[in-house]
Amino acid sequence: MIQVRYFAAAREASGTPAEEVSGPTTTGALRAALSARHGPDLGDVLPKCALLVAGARAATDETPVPDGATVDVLPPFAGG
Amino acid sequence: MTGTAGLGPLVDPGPDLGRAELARYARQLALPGIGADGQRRLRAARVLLVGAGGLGSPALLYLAAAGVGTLGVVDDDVVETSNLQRQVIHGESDVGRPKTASAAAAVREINPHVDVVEHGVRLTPGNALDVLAGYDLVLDGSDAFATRYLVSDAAEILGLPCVWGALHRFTGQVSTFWAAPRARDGDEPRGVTYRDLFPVPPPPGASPDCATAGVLGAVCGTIGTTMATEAIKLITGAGRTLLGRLAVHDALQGTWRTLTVHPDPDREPVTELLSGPGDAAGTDPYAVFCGIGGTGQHPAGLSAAELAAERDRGAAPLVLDVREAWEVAADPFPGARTVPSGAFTGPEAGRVVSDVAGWAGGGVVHVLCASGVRSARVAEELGRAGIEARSVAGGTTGTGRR
Repeated sequence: MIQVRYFAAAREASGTPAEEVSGPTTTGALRAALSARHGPDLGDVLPKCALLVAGARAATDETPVPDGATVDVLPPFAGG
Repeated sequence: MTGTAGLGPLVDPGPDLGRAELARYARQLALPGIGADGQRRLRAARVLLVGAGGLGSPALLYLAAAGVGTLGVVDDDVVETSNLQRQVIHGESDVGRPKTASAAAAVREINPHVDVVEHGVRLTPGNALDVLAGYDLVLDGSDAFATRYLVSDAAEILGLPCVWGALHRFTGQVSTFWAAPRARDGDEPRGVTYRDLFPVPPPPGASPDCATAGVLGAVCGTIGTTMATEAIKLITGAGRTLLGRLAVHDALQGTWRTLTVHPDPDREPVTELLSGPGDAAGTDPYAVFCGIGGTGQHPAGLSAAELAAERDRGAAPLVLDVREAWEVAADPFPGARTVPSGAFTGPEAGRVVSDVAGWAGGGVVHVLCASGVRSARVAEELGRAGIEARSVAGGTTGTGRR
């Protein structure tokens, strides 16, 4: 399983701080699966978020997500 | 493993402290990891705060009280009443004053041993390296993506650590970025910067600013104070910094969660600031990078003061005020049509744009918000729909309309 953790606006949109999805997969497939699971609220936020696979930002949709990995979904914000 | 432990003290100790300073810092001198040696490092440290706003206010207050010897403050804004809910270094009598002057006066009152350097300018690619050079570290408490990238790039070029905090409503993020951390044991692992995490900004409008989204003042305090603690840890070498980690605070849930962040091995190091096609007004390459700046092809827009003067002369320029209803209520622009900026990206966007086209009747639309950021975005949207739209530079607050 893959542990997905949501932060800030992504947490609000998904309604949960964390959940598990089956793996292995790729970041592109994971984005699609999470959008399908949570609907348009998360679908709007997700494309703006960095996906960190075990702490490293996934640069492309083909980035592998191994089974057992933690993926952090982090939206950007700049307010100060 | 990215080195998160083992960073040595950033700053060498300055001269011995006088009796007055020893008395002042007694509770800090007693702390393991700080002590007299750490206090002398703080005294010798030069820290630059970008923004004397929601994050900069608490950070400045605590760094001044802690005895950081030199505090630089970059801000080109004046204090407004709507700042006071969260920008706690400023008070009622400071409204209308430059934020740098207000912050400097507060710092001197808190601790006369601190030298304050006022940089009453907007940070640009033309001045950023000059402003940052000579400081030991920078705290980024600015409020726009363009400034965030500019500060990150300038800090990377100069080799400075950048303590970074950001706010959104009831949440905050804080980290320490440093492209080339100096490690105690000679090992120099590549550090993480803002660009490793967010190599490009979100599309304009995707992440609303504080004016649109709102922000709780106490959350600014939580994040800004954490930034001050990071600065003290970096200067003295105490503890473990957030380098390689990002802390996310959710005040409504009452949680702090920490993410591990690694540098992107494929990222090219930043060796120069972004440069633009020219130096004409409105072509800040960082604003263009963030999709909010003029590209140099737009005719310069009128300011709010010039529009008011036109109206006073009997002309009737079409002004589209895209601020939120509560902002308009607090400070209406007479004669303006009002449509909040969010309507131009929401489900009703098509209808709203055609409304504006109808009002314009082929003429020019002057788009107005508080600072010029939202209006630039809306003007872009309208421009794509074939409407001649010009963002009002500086917004309602920029050019001293009052």
